[in-house]
Amino acid sequence: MNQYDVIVIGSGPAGQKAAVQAAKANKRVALIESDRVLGGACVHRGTIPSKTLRQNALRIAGLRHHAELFSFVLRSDMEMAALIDNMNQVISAHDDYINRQIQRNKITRIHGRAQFIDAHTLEVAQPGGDIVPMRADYFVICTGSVPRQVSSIEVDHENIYDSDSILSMVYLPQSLTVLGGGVIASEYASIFASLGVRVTMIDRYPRPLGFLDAALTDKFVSAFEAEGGRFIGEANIERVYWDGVSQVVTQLADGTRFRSEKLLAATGRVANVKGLEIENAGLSLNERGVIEVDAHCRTAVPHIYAAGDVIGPPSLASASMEQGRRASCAALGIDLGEMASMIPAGIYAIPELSTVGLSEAQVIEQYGSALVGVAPFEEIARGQISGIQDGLLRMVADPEGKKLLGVQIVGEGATENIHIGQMALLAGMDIDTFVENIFNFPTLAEAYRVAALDIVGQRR
Amino acid sequence: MQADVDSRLETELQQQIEQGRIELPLLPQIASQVLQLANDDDSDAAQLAKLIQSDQALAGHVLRVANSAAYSPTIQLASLQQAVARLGMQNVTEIALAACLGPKQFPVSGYEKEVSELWQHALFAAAWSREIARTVRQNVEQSFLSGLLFQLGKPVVLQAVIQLAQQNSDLKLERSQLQVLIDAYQAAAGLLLVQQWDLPAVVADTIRYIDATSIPSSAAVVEVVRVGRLFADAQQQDNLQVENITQEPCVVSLNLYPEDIHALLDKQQTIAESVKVLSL
Repeated sequence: MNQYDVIVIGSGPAGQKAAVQAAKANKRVALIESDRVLGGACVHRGTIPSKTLRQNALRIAGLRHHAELFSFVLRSDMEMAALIDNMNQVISAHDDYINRQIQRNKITRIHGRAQFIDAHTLEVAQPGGDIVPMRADYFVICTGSVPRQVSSIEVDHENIYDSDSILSMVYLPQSLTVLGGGVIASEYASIFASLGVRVTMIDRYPRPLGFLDAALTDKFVSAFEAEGGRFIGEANIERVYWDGVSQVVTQLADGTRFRSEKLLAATGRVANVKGLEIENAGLSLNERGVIEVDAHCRTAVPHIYAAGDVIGPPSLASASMEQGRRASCAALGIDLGEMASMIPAGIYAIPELSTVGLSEAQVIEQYGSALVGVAPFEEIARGQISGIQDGLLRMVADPEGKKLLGVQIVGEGATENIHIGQMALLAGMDIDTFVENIFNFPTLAEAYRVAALDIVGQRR
Repeated sequence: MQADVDSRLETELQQQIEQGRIELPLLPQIASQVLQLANDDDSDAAQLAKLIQSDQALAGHVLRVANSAAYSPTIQLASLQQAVARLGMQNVTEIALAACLGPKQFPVSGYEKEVSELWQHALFAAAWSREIARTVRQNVEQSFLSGLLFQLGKPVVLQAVIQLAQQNSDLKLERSQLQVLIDAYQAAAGLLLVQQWDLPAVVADTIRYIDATSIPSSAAVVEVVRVGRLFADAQQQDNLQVENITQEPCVVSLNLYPEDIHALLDKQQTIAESVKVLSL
């Protein structure tokens, strides 16, 4: 029997950090991963590949623009080959990095599918058929999430994809239906639209990314439609199927049908516990379909912790990394205090969106009203220079326009520039700080000052 | 003397391949057009039906397969348009390609059985590669095509060797020697054929790397086809069992677990039936 101090199940962002943290505390650590490469869905099917695809899509859009300027023609078959080749290189580099980190920290890597036998014992089934029994003082479950399966959507990974298989396409379809209005659906819909695919986005809610203020989602939808995309909201899906000829049919409850060459079902992700037999360890999924944990990522079983997508929202790689680290610390009695609650959200659509702090709707709910300052990028010199005119920055303040409560950005660089607002919020800076201090010119960050001045101008 | 005979034959074969003198069958124009249509984003079912209709033999064959129990258990299809509408472009394209690229393309008198077996194996490899790709979330369409065509060099070498033996009466050839030559030179011949037929790059990659020690990340489909080949070998030997497959290096490398293999083997019968139909 292989005995460890800590066994971490899953090598995504949460699992990596959990394992490394435990190793740095001089514990004997095993990291179990069912895939043949480390990194989890984040590295191999999700975050890294989709952001790389997005970046390549932007490069190609830029090349196309310059092709017009210099009168040369891009090869029509260049696009997908270039997109995919670079993506594999990025994934490979990331895989190398994780491997080196695991080796450097003397973490034992076990390749296989784990299954709880009881609260202290696992069996790991390996691809060759071997079974490895393992025991530990502590476990950290970081098995991530998988696409939600919906019975009315016949995913075949050939014509109808989910978010784990969409990037197995090797050519751009002429048309693509994207089901869902969340982050993954919005990102892929806008990326493929920017690549010239005719994209139809269908969701049951009236607008995509409903957790954001309407001003942002309006901008997103407007940019999406400018690329030829269309968003169909308040639509209930009755059935999705391949017609056996050449098209995927999306049938709505009201009888409307949409046809497309391919379809992406991005209707949410659920905790990945298939085969883990958590019941044998005394655990179960809660009513939201995730493993319930306390503020220290501890489950109902005192020596078993869980972190990352498997415990539910925010389901961000950034938060997962910190959760994994904290889970190991909590298990080993290392006190870190409370986890940061102000986590920025980044949506890597085209255009980018990012938000931190309270939304306008939340401020109105808490304070009765809000003052909002807006800086359209077309009014920012750097926006004009860089060709990033289709964006804006919003600062949300209290009704007096003094206290900064939230920041939202749409446009390239949103996920970078949001951190200025995040730091300001954490430091308790007020709106006037942005007015009284000097920003580099020309920069997109100047938008903070412009938005702050807008708020000052609205004060009574 | 026999050793001299062998080496002379092999030397001549090698030179033919290296100098590009090996006789390569011409891709029937119709097959080239079918492939083009299949790869053309703007094509549609009506165009495919019209194209197939232009070749009498192909039209007859497609209708015959389309009307088989596997594809149309309940109705008789009366026209190509109906066949395409009912079966879909993907199925009809596969039927048409199987007809164009099958054994009739490689007439080798006295070796019809060998050619037919090679083609059967290719169909099994293609069908399994498709299902394996689906399981591991790799591209399904490319996997099928690569599985179908990665051994295209085998009948080419077979034809070339038989012709050499026939043209030089003092060159004696044993059937066992034939297999050795096919195995040794099929990849090189296959790559020449891929180039002449202007087949997709993924097919060339599969031929190039199918037995290589390392595979570039851009040729991920090769790993799928390796396992597809393994399944095809086992099925033809009536030996397709989990315990025989689980520990094979290519299976482990593709990260297939015993439960994945069980799920794949559940499709054994369906695959056997589809191959039987495509072999008509």
